[in-house]
Amino acid sequence: MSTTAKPPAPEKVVRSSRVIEGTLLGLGAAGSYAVGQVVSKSVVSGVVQPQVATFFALLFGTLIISVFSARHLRADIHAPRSSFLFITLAGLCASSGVMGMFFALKNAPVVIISPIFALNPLVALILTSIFLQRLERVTVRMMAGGLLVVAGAALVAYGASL
Amino acid sequence: MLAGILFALIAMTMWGVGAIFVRLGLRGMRASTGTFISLLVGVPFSLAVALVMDWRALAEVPFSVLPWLVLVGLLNFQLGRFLNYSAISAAGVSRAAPIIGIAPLFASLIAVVFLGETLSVYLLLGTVSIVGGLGLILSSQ
Repeated sequence: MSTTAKPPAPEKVVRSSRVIEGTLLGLGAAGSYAVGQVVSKSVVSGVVQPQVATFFALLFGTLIISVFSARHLRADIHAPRSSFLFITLAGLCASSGVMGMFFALKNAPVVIISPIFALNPLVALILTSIFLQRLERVTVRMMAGGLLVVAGAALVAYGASL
Repeated sequence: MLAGILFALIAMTMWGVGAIFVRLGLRGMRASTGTFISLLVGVPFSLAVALVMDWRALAEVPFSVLPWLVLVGLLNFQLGRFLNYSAISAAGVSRAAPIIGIAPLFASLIAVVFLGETLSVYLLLGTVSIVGGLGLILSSQ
């Protein structure tokens, strides 16, 4: 009888590697947003109004990605209509979120508003556990981790806005 | 003040709901295509907001700031959103959303290291909390 451990099922290996890939991509996204935020705060802020800066940055970002994604766009033209609908809704949500952020900043101090913005992953976690049960499993450990991350991000945002 | 808090809650909810739509949308298309479509939808929306809030400000952007706005667009929207969508597609919303949510920590650390801002007790406590939270999320099966 062999005493060596059984190798993990291929499916599980693929899933683990996707999680690692997603984690690294997520850290990259957070880093990119952070550098963008710092550049925006130190160079653009005070010279251009935030909503104007967002419009131009969004316009330039769209133009740049249109060049890079042109090949994939042609391939994805036959994607399910539901995918186009959901991504359009995602774009509208992101934009209305930004609009809400500007109006919030105009009507209340940053010190109160910034920690509230940091809570958005919690909303995503709760909604995932309700609506994406067939796609993802949200464990108690993940929910507790999400709460700690959100609390930490809210603390950092609060401290930065003082 | 109450209106500001209400708008902040709306913004927070919209970003959370948006992540769910991204997960559903990217089941049928690549992250780069999804990023392009979502940005394209956002352009007229943000133009409308800029026009409503102060339309004169649009024409008063100094030429010298435009390269910086290109850089911000590249970091926030082209790269940031593409990596955000790719992370959701690969690891799911439940793992990716909290990881992406640590951007304020990175921003504060960059500000401390490169802009000479002071290291506050909030940053230290927040960092400990974030690291602990990420450990829990990533160790979850």
